[in-house]
Parts: sequence; structure tokens; C-alpha cells
Amino acid sequence: MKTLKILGCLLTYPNTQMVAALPEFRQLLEKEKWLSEESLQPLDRLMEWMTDQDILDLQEEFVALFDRTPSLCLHLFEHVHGDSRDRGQALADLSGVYKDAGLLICTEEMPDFLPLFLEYLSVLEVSEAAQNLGEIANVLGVLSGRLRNRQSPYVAVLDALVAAALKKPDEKAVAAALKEAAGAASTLTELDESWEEQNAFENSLQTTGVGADAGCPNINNTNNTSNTPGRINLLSTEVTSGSADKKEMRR
Amino acid sequence: MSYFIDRITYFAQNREKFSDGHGITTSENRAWEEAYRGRWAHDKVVRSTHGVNCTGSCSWKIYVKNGLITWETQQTDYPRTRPDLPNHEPRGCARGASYSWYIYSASRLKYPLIRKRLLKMWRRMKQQYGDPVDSWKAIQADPALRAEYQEVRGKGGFVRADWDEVNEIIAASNIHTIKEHGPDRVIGFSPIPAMSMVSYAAGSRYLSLIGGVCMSFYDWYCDLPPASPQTWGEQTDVPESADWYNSGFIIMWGSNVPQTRTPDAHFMTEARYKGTQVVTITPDYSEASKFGDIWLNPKQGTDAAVGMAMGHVILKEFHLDNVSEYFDDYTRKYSDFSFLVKLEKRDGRYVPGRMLRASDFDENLGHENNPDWKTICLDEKTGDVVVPTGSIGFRWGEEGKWNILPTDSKTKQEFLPQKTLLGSEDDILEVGFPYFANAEHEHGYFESNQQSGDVLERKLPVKYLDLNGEKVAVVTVFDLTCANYGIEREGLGGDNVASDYAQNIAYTPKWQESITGVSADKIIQVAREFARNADVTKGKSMIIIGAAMNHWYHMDMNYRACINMLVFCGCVGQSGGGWSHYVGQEKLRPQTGWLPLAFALDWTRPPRQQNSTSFFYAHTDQWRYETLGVGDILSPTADKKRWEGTLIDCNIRAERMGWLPSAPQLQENPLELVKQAEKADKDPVEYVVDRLSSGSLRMSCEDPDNPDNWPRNLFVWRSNLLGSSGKGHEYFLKHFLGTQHGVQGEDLGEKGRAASTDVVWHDQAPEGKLDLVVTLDFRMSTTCMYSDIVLPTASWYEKNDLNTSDMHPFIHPLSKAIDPVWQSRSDWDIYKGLAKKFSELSVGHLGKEKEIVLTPIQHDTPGELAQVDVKEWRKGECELIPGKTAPAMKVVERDFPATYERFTSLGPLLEKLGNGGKGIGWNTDPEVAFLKELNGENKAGYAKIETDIDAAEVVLTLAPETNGEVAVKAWAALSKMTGREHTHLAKPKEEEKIRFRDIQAQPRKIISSPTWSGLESEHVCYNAGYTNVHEYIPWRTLTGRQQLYQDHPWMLDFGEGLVSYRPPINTATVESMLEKHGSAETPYVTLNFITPHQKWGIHSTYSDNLHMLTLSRGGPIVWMSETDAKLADIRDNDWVEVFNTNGAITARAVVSQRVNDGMLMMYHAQEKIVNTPGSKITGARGGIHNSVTRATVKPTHMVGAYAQQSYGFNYYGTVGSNRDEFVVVRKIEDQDIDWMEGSAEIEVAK
Repeated sequence: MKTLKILGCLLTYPNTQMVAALPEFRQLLEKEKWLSEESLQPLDRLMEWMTDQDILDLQEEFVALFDRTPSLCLHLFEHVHGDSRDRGQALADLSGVYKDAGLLICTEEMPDFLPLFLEYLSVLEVSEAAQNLGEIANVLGVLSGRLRNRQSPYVAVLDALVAAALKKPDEKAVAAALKEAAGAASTLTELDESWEEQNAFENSLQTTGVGADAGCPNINNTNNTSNTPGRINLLSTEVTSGSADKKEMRR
Repeated sequence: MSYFIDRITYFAQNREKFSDGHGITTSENRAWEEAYRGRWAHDKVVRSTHGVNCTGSCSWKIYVKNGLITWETQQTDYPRTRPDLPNHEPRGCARGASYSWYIYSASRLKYPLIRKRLLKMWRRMKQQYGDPVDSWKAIQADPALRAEYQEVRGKGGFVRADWDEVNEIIAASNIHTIKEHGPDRVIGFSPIPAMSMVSYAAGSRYLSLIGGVCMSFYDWYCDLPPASPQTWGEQTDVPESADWYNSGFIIMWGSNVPQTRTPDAHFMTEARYKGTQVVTITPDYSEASKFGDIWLNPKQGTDAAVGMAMGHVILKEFHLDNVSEYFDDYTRKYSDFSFLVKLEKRDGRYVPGRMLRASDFDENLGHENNPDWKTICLDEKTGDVVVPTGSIGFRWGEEGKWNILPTDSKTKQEFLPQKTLLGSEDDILEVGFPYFANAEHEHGYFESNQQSGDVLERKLPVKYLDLNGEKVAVVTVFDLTCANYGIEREGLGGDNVASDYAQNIAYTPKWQESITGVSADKIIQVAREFARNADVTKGKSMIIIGAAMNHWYHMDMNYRACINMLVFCGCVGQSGGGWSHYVGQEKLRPQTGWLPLAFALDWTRPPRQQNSTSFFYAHTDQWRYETLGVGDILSPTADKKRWEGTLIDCNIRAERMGWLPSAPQLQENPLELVKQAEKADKDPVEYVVDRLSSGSLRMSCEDPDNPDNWPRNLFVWRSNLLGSSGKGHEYFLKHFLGTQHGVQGEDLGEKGRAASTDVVWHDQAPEGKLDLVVTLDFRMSTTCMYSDIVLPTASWYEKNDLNTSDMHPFIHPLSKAIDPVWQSRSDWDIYKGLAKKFSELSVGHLGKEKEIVLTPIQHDTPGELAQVDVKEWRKGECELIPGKTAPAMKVVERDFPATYERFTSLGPLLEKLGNGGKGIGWNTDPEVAFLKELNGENKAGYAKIETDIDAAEVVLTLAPETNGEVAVKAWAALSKMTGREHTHLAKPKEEEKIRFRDIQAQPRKIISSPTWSGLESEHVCYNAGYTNVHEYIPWRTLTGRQQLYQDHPWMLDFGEGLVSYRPPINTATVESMLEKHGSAETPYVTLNFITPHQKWGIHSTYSDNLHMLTLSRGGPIVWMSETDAKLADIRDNDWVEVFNTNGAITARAVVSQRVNDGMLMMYHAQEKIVNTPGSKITGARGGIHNSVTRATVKPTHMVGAYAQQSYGFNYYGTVGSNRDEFVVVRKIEDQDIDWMEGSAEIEVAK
């Protein structure tokens, strides 16, 4: 299935070849009909916009958005683990998933790079791809929210992914993450709340979280007003491997 | 079947219960355990460290799985210390432990970036011209084009670029600059080589090969304590932290050991368990305060007053009332106490003048060699005049007499240096001492203490000598010192001296009370116990001293007051004692092995090196705003006629006389000058001398704003130059970069023109001097934001390199655990790639070319004896003689197209000229031959330096510290000069050779070498000055002893012949801002702005890491006292604006009892890139800590060509002090906070 691969391409650093291939993208998307009409229309507009832009302007926009804004980072684990210790291990595990599927990463990219992940999904069965997409729904939801706030046409890609996913983003988690990174001056009460010790088990906010982290007041929840994104409890998260024995992905 | 067969014999039943039924074996799937088993299973564990100028140099284990870094933990395999000494490990801190988080972070730089506007015009020009150099030329020729990309510096607008294209642009720009303006217009800034030597060397080697300029850092950072070169002729040399354990009494003075020396702090704890007395002196209740048995809190910036009062007590009780035998013996042997000083008559009174020299006597007392530089003592037993061995005159031009065993150089007999003339004096004279503590401070914050006037006259015992028919009064330095400290001597009496500590006379314990706020009895107690411990233990009293003392304009007074205490008590050079200045990771242990690699000394000499403070002062036009007049800091005893002009005029004089370096050097292209000379059939040096003398050619320093003299290309690597270290940040933005800035003040205008004597004043100051700014980094620092091209470097786990520290004697590797991520490359590979492109593109533009290089007169060379008097060729006071009355000049041949070939191989000059350092030289042929075998030879027969490991091997092989054979050679070379046998210090390690793989296996201790004054042996910890004291090797000063008296005319004119207390200067940056922005409605306070090192980062590194941000307050903060907060109606966590004429900062206030009144602390260094809202004053985003600072240079730091006060790179020169600054602080209401983020998420969230 090419659709996911194309959506990934749209999220890579634009160059003239890519822009030249846009009509082809359009045809393929039409042909595969995996995306709904509601998803396709904004994508059309995105591609139109990309075609109209000067390539350098397009690149500048891309760098400003995805390279220079951590909260829009296209590396999934930025939003899951952030700059934490778990990130390295999670990356190692994810590369194991690809390996099990018989895929070896041959570029400089990291295993959690969204377009790379989408390429991986594109070689899976459609149903499996949609399911795996669902596992990153929260990240997709948050990215889409942030791009919408910036009125960026790139929101079309994220929306299309969200729509195609089997599972929908947890609205509460997404809303919380959006608020955290919003840079609003926090009141002292809000600060206190965010640092308050959480219940070990009945943590509604963390339904999607990992057991081990759930009990700790972790830094992901602080009211951090920086440009760094508030961490989302995101991968719900069992991305499954496409290989025959379908091992669970370790976290 | 029988039961026998059925029953199993050799196996246990797998369902058997065990442990009394508590355990049972099952066969269910145990795959879940894999996660736990796998957690600590790694493909490899690699040793590396963090190159971050924290002095930690800690060994870390880096864990790698599937080619990805998972985390790091502290290494615990340091070699054990001696049985009576705690071990070094574990070393590390929370910041280092969070480093792996950077590797894959969103803040990581992943691709080369370039400013879009620049790339666009580049591609257009390239299409038009084809040739890259011509294309760059076309861009620079059009001021509108230039401004187009300059004015958006710092405002985003980057696009990715590929390596080929950025290398082409950079190389083209370098070539154009060299061709059009000269190689000395290409400059590079990278600090602290010790933290990653090969990475530093990569850039400096490239720059040195093409004739570019390497900028100094230690002085610019204000980490260099000029008092150290003044006293010891040594940049900085200190005890390792393990030596704290050997101490009996430690004063932690302005050094926050647990916070800023975290991995070493355990030695402090252990020393306390052992019973070491600890006194902490800090103005605020810092982390270090809790270590102290006694905590003193003098007002910040007044430490010298504390030190003077302690010195008063020590001198009185241990040198006068009850003479300590040990102190007496030590100071006679190892200090200048017994040397004679001439008294001079000025304005009707006697003042201390020059040290007496052999040349003052008839027939130079029989000394033909350097009689001007041989100082004089009296023999206490015979009363004879003696020329003792070891003074600097013996260092050059003769052999075997440069040692400090008290020996008469003529008779070769030991003698007893006479410390005091009291009792054998010919006369008693009143001598004037300048007094500065009577000055009123502009904000009234620093209190004055009025004495009898600005010159205090005190009585001294003198001897009259008949010198060439003239009767001259002389005194000893000891007698001068006692008088200077205001101690009444028995039988002398007189005014301005105290017999009782309770008298308010400079410099008694009572006197300092009103200035520092510390009670006199505490001063007496600490001084007495400090000295008593030293007396009993023979010198095991130590002062740990830090940035808080050194970042003041008059830092030398703080430092010399402390150094004096240590010398009075015989602590310097004794294990467990001495001066522990831990500011900056200054100790590049294998220095002499590294120098040839770093400055391409194997291909061309001399390299171009520039002192940064003077350079940035001139080229960011901070001098145009200077409010401090020369007269404001001049001594009341100075010859005022000599002192017209401004501070920059002093600097220009210093450059012309060869005291300080210049960059750019001459107003014309040095390549062209040689061509002109050859055309005129003249020697190029003569040609330049003639033209300079006639005035047809000017040195660039005289007109820094003239486009002919602008620096054009700037490289920054391993540094956050414009952020953490950009003193006067806003001036950098305005004049250097030409972009949006927050400078509030007007320059001096007509007043400036009138006041200047030597500098050319332009009405319109230039904005945007730099054509191209290139920064290499692994994260988007403030400097990257303002650059035109940003190159992603490998981080500390992605490259091979070397790392050493002053805190311990081990040499560490940085190791490549994984390949550089994304498109990043190691610094070595980046510059290597650049060298390649440069070589390619230079063909047709530059070939083999000659140029003329100017160097200042250098310390540790015979040149340091150049100028007995201050005479200026420019004013016709003497002839222009290069290397004598002016900078040295040398014609250098460069082969530009061979730059790459030279970069990657070890050139022939090492075999031709040998290697060495600090005045000692040796043959190094065997090492070069060895490297040819180890690294392989290239086609031309030179040893290869292709990889970063090759480069590391060059350093390790050539350096005595890592090659025992070289160490023995080096000591032998020194023996020749001293006439004493030193090779025994390295002989036992002669066969020891440390290579890169060795240090990857385990940290290795370095080998003792004469480059350093301490030993690393099985018996003593490393301690500075140890070999001076125990081997009688002279300090590299005028007398060869610890020089407490400074007799250069500039030192005397600025009142720093002897130590005193000088209050902070008036910077005049607040008044006009209050007039403009003060309003009745918003209360404000005016506070002293200081910038201590922080807890949640090392400088700016780690400070943008979410974990560290979370541990602090998540953005820029300033600390203030409860009292001041109340005055300005500020509550904890309120937003405040901090401003003065230099610019403005926005931050949150931390209101804390920790902070004393009148002080505002902003941690060094917080980035502009995290949580910084807009400033109402500037209308731009609030700045960084450097937005309210401006560098102010000090003339005494410009002195050169005079023994220990001769220039050395990062050794001497002006320093970037910044703590005398005052700021206005006022609240910003939450609703007025403007994040300046346009349509971003904030708006929506609201």
C-alpha cells in the first residue's frame, strides 16, 4: 500500500524531485482510495501549496516547523520519552521490530522517525498497518493539534493519518499535552497540581501509560512552558511486528 | 518395567518442590523475563567523557545496543590511590548523567543549516559567475546584499544544505577574504582545548595553515587570574583535588565546590572527616557554606579587604612579633621579600620604584649578560650586595645559573638573603602608598573608609647605595610589604600604621569591618588559625578560590591578597597547601605534544594568536561606549602627564610596542605587502618597518572601525561565544553582526573623539562587520541562532578525542561509541573536509604565497627581556625594531593548494626545529620516526594524520606527560639551564608510553614533566610550585622567586606595585536608564549584578535539557534577597525585567534568604532559546545574562615585553570582567508578558 508511504514522503524534507513527484502522489492516493474524501481534499490543498511555493521557502518552513520546533518533532519518541533514559532503549527495541520484519535501516534516520515508521507500515497488511497506526494515535493527535494551531497546511497529513488509524487519539491526553506546551503562565495552584503525587493505580490520565511510570510524579507532567513539548502518554503501545510470529514489542 | 528403570537417577523431577515447598518448578513461557535479562545486555560498553569545561573530566561507561546509545553510568576503574588517600571514584554528576539524552533529542542539530537568504543569493551568483570565489566576491561587493542576510541573523530562516555546498561556500569565503583583505581577517574562536584536544586542534590547525587567527579564551572568560602570571610567571597551576585531603586548613573562598566541582567534592567531605579545618567565604549562603566550620560573608567584591586584614594579622603575628622559623626561611628562599627596591621621589614624596638591578651598579657588578634583568639582595651575614642566581637574566644567554638555591652568582656560595633592613638601616624615610578605599561608589553600595588621604605615608628603614655616583635609597620588599599592610614596626612609629587590631587604620581587621561587614574577631581568628596550621604542618594551609573572586575588574587585588597569605605562610609548593584556583579546565596536560598539531607548527611558524578581550572590545565597538576613564583608575602617585587618552588608546599603545597581539594586524593585506616589497626589491620586514615608521602604513588597531580592518570570517566551535561568553552580547549583535540588538546607550560621540589620543573615531559606527559566521555545534545554541552556517558536530559519544583536567592527574579519552548521528561529523572530519575543499578552490586564486606575520614579544622566550623602559616608536621615543620595541615580524610562506595535504600529515619542521614549550626545547626525531611507523607514511614520506585517533597519537607521542622518554629529555634540557639534576623525576617512567587504546582501557596517570610545576608520583599528589620549592627551579618571573612586588612602570602608575583593596569600579550604566524608563508607578531596585556558575547546567550546556530545566525553574531566573524584593514589590516567581544601558533581560525572580541585600544573581549561563519573553525596554526578546554586561579592559593587563609580564596566548592579557555592573530590577505583571510568538500555540491556549 503506497498511501502511507506517500504520507511519509510529504513529511520529509522537501526537494525539487519530491515536488515534481507530487502529481504522481495524487494519482496514487486517488487510486488506492485508502483515505476518505475528507482526508484527501486537504492533502490536495497541501500539495497545491507545496507546488506553488519557492522550494527554498518551502524548505525554510519545513526546518522552522519540524527541525527547529521540538514540540513538532517528527521523531515519535520525542513525544513519548523526550530526553529521558528510556529513549535509547526504546529506539533499540523499535529497530528490533523492523529487523524481525526483515527490514534493516539503511539511512541515517532513527527508528522512530515518523516517515520511516510509515514506510514500515506500508509493507504490512492494511489491517495491521491501521492497527499499528492506532498505537501512535496520541502522538498523531497532538502533532495535528499543534499544526492546526499554527495554521500549517501540513496538518492535512496528520489528520489523514489520524483518520486512517484504527484507534482514535485519547482526547483528554491530547488536550492535556496541548495545554502543557502552550507556554501559558502557570498559576501556583496549577504548578502544585502538576507536582502532586499521583495514585499508583487509578490514574485516569494515564490509562495509556506504562505501569512502571504511573505511580511517579514524572517530569512529563510538569507545567513546563518551554518550547519543549509536554510529554504525552502516548504509545499505548504495542506496535506489532509484521513478521510471522508477531512477537510483542518490548518496551 | 521395573521400578528401578522407571525411577530417574541423574535428574531431579522438574515439578519438584523445593525450599520446603516455598518454590516449585513450572514449565510456562518465561519470555517476559527477556526484558529484564536484556536490560543490561549490551552490544558494547565504551569509555567516554564530557567535553564541557567543567574541570570534571570524569570517566563514563556508554552503553550501546543495536548501534544506539541507551544510557551512561559512571566508570569505577580508576587506578587506586595510595593507602592513606581516598580513591578518586566515582566521578560524575547529574548533568553528565543526563548527557545521553542529548544524542537523539529534538534539540540536536541533525543537518548542516544555512541562512536561506544567503543560500538563495549564493546559488544565483554561482549561476552567474560559475567560480565559487568570484560568486562570494560578488555578494560581498554589494552592501545591500550583505545587509539582506546580516539583518536577519538570529531570526531563524534556515534551510538544510548538504556538506558539499556549505563547504564550498565557506572555502570560497575564506579564499576571497585572504585574497582581498588578508588571512588575518579569518578568525576562529574555540575554548578550553583540554576538554577535547583533537577537536580544538582540528579548527586551529586549519586556521593556522591558512594564516587565520586563533582567539584566546581563558582571559576572555575571565578565568585567567592575571595575578598568577604576575606572581609566578605561570598561567595557572594548581593542586589536584585529591591534595585537599592532605591539607590541615582549607579556606574555600568564592568557590562553590559542591556545586561547580561536584565530582571532586567528596575529597572535601573526606578531608573534613580526617579533621581538616574548613572556612568558607562567600557573600551568599551558598552550597559551599555548609562545609565551613566557619562561614564568613563579606559583601561581594570586597574580598581583597578581608584578605588584606588577614595578611595584616599573619605578618604581625608570624613575621614580626613571633617569627615563625619556617615562614622566615621559606620567604627568604622562595619569595622576593629580600630583594631591593629603589625609592623614587615624586611630587615631593618618596614612592617605591623599580627593583634594583645589576646594571644600576658600576660595571654592572661584573655581569655582561643581561645585567638589566638581574635583581639584587643583601647578604645578612656580611652586608654585601649579592646578585643571586635564578633571576630572569640568568635564564637566557648563559647556562647553569638559573636556579633559586640562595647562591651568590659570583662566588657560587650560599648566602642568607636579608629580609629586613630594620636594625641595620642608614635612615628612616616616609614613603607614600596609594589608598583607594576612600572612593565613593556611584550607588553608595560599596562603602568607603576614609583614611588620612589618598596617599598614606609610612616610615621605612632604608639603605643608601652609591650607584654610579648617585646616592640612592633602597628598601626590601619585606619592609615595603609590612608598611603597605599598615603594621607598626618596633622603633619606627609614624602615621597610618596600627599597633592594635581595633584601630581603624588600613589594613587592620577593624578597618575592613565597615567595608565587608565581617567582624574583626572572625578575621583575626581565621587568619591566626590559618597561619598556625601552616606553621605547624610546614605549609599545609590551602585557599580554594574561584570565579566569584576573579570576575571583578580589580580581581588582581582579590587574588594577590590571598596569594600573599599563602606565600607569607610558606604554603605554595607544599603538598596540602597552596593556591587552588579552579576556574576553567585550563590544564592541557600533554600541552607540548598538542601544540604542533593544534597550530600547525610542523608546517609553518609562527601561528597567529589573538587575545580575545582586546579584540572583542575593539571590534564589537564596546570601546565606543566606555565610561571608565584612565584617570579613574590611576594611582594618586602616578606620573599623570603620561596618561592621556582612553582605555582603548592604552591597548593600541600595547599592541604597537609588541606587548599584546593584533588581529587584523596591518591595514593592508600582508600578502600584498610582501609583493610590494619584492617589487621594490626590499626585504619585506624592512619594507614594513619603513612604512610603519614613516606613517604610510598603519597597524589595524589604530582604526578598528575602518572596513580595511574588519574581521571578515568567524568560525566558532566547541563554544557558545555569542551566548554564554559574549560579554557585551548586545554590542556583538549591533556592531559585529549587524542585526537586531538591545543596546540602550548612545556611544560617546563627540566626547569620544575628543578624549581619544590614538584611536581613529568615526561618527558612524559600523554595523555588521562580519561577512560570514560559521558555528559547529551539536545543539542549537544562542550562537548557532546568530550564525549564517551551522554545522552539526558529533557529540562526545560519537568521536575520538583526548581530555584532561587540573582536578586529577588522569588522561581520558572521548570515544566513538556510535557513528555520528544523522549528518553530523566530528570536528576533525569537518575541518578536514573544509581543508580539502579549500585546497581545491584555491587553485587559480591563491598559490604558494608569502605573507608577513606579526607576533607580540613572548613570555618564555629570550624576547621577554626586551623592554626595560616604556618607549614608543610611534611617538619617536625610539626606533622601530621588530621583536624589541615593536611586534616581531616574520615572512611566512604558505602553500594554499596544499592545505589538505598539510592538514593530514605531520610536517618537517619538528625534525628541523625540534619541539618544546615554556622555554625548554628538545630534539624529537625519534618520536616523529615512530609516528611514521605507527600512523603510516603518506606519499611524501610524512607521518599520516588522517583520523582523529591518528591525531591523538601525535599528541600522546610528542608529549612528555604521555611519553616517558620525552619526559626524560625535557627534564635533561631543563637541567642544562638550572645546573641541577632533574631527570630523576622521570627516569623511573622512561619506558612508559601511553597510547590512545591504553586510555580507553583505563584512565592513565600522566608522567611528571617540566611543563608543569607539580609532580605526579607514588609519594605526592600533584601540587603547583612543588618542583620550584623542592628542586629549586625558578618561577618564571623577574627575580625567579614568587614576585609579590610588581615594578613595571604601568603597574606602579596604576597603583598595583603592591596589593591593596580597590573597590568595584563605577560603570555608570543605570542613571540614564532611570531618567528614561523610571516611573513613579512601578517600584524598582538598583542591584549589583553577578553571574555565578550554576547547578543545573555546565555553562549553557544541559541548561536546555528538560530534566535540568525541571530541577530548576524551567527558564531564566534571577536570585534576589527578600529585602530588595519587598522594595520593588516583587514576589517569588514574578516576572521581572533587568536592565541598564547595555541591554535588558526578562526572567523570573527567585526571592531567597540565601542572597544578601544589594545583590542580583543570574546563573551563568541560561540560553535565550528557552522560555524568554519579550522585553518592554528593547522591544525584542529578553536577553541573556550578558545582555547587561560590557567588557572593560584594564591597562595593567596590557603590560608586555617585561619578564613574567610578557604576552603568552591565554597566559597574559586583558580579561573580560563583568561583576562590577549594576542593573535596575522591576516587576512585569503576568498580563504584560509578551511571548512574541505571533500565532503560535500560546494564543490559542489563551
